[in-house]
Amino acid sequence: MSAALDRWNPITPLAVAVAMVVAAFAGPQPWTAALVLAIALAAAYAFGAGGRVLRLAALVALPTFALLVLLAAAFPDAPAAHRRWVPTEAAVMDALAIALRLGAAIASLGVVIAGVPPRRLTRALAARGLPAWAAYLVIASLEAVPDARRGADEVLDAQRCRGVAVGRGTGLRGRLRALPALAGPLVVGLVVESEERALALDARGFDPRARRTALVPIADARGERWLRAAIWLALVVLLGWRLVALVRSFTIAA
Amino acid sequence: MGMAAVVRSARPVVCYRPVTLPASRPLSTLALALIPRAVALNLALGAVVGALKLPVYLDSVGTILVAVLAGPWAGIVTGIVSNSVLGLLVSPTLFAFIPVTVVIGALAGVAGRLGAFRTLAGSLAAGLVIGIAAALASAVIVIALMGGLTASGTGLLTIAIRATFGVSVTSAAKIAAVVTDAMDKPLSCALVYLVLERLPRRITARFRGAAA
Amino acid sequence: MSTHGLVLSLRLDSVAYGRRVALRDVSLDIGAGEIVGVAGHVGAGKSTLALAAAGLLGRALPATIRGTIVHPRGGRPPAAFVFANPATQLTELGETVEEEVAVGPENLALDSRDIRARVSDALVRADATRLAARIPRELSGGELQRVALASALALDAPLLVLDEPTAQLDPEAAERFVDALGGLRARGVGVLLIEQNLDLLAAVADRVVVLADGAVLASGDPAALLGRTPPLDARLGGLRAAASDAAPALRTGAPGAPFVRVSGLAAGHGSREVLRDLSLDIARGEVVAWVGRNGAGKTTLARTIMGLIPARAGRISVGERALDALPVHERARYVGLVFQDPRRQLFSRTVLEEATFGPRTLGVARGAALAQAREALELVGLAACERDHPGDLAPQLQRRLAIASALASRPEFLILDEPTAGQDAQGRAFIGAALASQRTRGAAAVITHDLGFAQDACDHNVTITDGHVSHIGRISVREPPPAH
Repeated sequence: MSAALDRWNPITPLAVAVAMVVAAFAGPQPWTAALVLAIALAAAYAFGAGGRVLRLAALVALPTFALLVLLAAAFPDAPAAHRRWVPTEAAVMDALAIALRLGAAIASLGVVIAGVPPRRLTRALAARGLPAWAAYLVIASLEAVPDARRGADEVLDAQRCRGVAVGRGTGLRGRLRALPALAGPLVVGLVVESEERALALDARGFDPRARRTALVPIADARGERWLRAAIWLALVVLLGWRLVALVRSFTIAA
Repeated sequence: MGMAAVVRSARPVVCYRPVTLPASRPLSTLALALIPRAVALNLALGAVVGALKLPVYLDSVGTILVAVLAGPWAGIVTGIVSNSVLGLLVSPTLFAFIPVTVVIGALAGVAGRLGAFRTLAGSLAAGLVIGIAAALASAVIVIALMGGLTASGTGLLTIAIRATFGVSVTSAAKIAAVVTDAMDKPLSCALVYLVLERLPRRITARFRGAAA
Repeated sequence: MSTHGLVLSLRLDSVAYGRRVALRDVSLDIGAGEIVGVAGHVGAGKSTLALAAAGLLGRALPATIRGTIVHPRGGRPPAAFVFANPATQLTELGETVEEEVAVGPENLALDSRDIRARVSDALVRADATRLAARIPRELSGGELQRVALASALALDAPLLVLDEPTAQLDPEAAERFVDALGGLRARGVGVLLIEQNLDLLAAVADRVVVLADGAVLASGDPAALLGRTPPLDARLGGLRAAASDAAPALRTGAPGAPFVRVSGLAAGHGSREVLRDLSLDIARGEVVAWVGRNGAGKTTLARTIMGLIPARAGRISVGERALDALPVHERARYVGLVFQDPRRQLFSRTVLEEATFGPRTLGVARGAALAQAREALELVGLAACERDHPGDLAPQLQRRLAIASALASRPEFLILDEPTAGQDAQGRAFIGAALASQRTRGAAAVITHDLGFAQDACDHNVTITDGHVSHIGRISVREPPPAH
């Protein structure tokens, strides 16, 4: 899956995704959002992450749509004109537009996240000016998460061996008492580990402010940079157009 | 060949870098190493409470801890990194809620500087304030995402305003959201207070800037 | 001051952490291509000396230094460091071993080609070339430590400082690591090696400095200083051949009836079978050592007896009580298990509070729990540290605290997993005494690679191979273990 995107500098798909998100929100509704959603889903399926991205988008878009329709039906604009609990067509269309926007945004970002390893993306950004400490924070956090989960398991095992009861049959009071016994060592352990890691960073000569190079630099072809510049330009034009239309609608109303 | 690197001190030299972070200076390595683990803590504690089947999230304990130890700016950075990583790992929706974690980090840091975390009562009070602020921030973001204001009155805010001044049914729903955050944040702050007492002296001594 | 040919010239009047003076009047010169060893009891100031020599003291840690530390060859950084914990000294910036080793040169903003050259060179010198494409998380302790060595070597610093690098390694991995060190002489790298394992130190160091209570006790030829009997400092780690002075009382009389019975035990992780039809008996009053290669199932056996791993077949009983139906927190009343790295479980404000946690959790009244805790702390030699913060203790003392915590609950059957890793002679003596005390309460088992300790403190060895018991008997330290 990621093989297809490997040829590109990771910032390019990111730029495309951001552009798509902006277009979904700022473009003429609702068909821009629908178009973006369709493109994102197609790309997701092409990269083999279709199921995951679709699920992510649906999990946000569907409840949003349902909730908005329900609320619009429950609190109609002009209560006397319509039967209660039946939403107006305009309300449904609007709810659809909002849900599509969210779904499109999630799907666009989801494709990039599924297709580009976060480390690679962070390193590409670092090469283009992201400070060393920011890159470290993201990458180290990604590493630290599974480590902390394992640490939580270890603490759980150790405390169970000392008699802390968890699981079925333990009353609420017992579970509340177990919380400091489980959370406490985990937190203290992670803080102490931070001290060790900080020493290790110092020992390796890490300077948060300094420039760093890479063992395997990520290529950034000139063509790609032109492409990204074009994308940013198109975005500016789109936003400008929408802004003008907005201003004109206000002045016409006035 | 390089020059000799000489560390020479005729008088006692106290060598440590304070971790407080003025806006323009980067983080020291201890704070830098602390933040990823705090982010991991935000996620790992969720697993712990899940195993215990307790009705809270405790998903900001890491952010609050860093904020109290290393100051509001470090708390803000932790909040940003935490939701960014969550966005990458779970769902991109969470990117939108970065402002909420920023608020949590900033307020916790300020509360720490004011000495709120020196006592349990102070920590709980700070938690209450943070909880309400976080709930408000979340509400604003949800409203903005779900259309906010729309011409045909379908935006969440317009509906909510209609509902509030019309029927009081949705007020109960809004209160429910604030209640869970109001319980979760004070509990998180209480946990941070308990932990602060149990950290080795040599570590808390390095964060002298925090009024902990 | 002539520093020709030296990579380190250190003259410390004092180093203090707050009010506690850690080092006094220490002078040390290290020449290019020289390996200088440092030995000393726990708390003698070895780590302080190591961090000071590397120039890390006072940057990462608050300390008051009076004196001078000179690195005549300069360098960015002037010294590289290898820590005792294999995992936490990795920077997390590298997804593969190769990338991790490259972090140092990347920090120096070197050209990509130079970085690659340094990485390959470092991997070769650290005997880690085969590991280049592996992921650090999947490596064993010994492999990780060689990666850490490579990462340090990639900095191309004139001085290399190692703080107890083999403390958490099994003997095989430890020897392999030290072999890699020997090869550094030819490259003109000066090495400062802190070690508890005096065998290894004597084998590789050109010169040894012995620290005691923050000052230099002696310095000179390794064999002469470390092989002395009686030992230069009774608290030092001993040579394996010599038995510890305070030999705990061995069992007298015939073994009693079986107290701990394990029969037909089968258990594993997921689809993998680790324990196959394992049966063993331990008599009342016995202390046995469980030995065997890594992966044979010793830790799995301990965890299955404790209930952390569900048994797929077989029975376990302690005393007359069958444990099979009991959940872990119930079994904790009768069985105590101390993990290999128990430091993650410490979270109390004082050592005493930590030791009372076990009994209190099991429902013992506060007064009685305090008494039990104090007794346990006395046994492991931590009575004087009662009011200290557990996090401020040295790692070896933290391990003994974890043993005390388990003892305080007065289990009938105590299992210790690698308790003597990184301990000095005094620590080993205390752990042996704790095991001896366990005889009156029931029985104990020790998972260990330290055959010398097994010989001194245990009645016999149980060798576990491929998930079952393959040999029972005494193994003399000088003989190789029976072929499997």
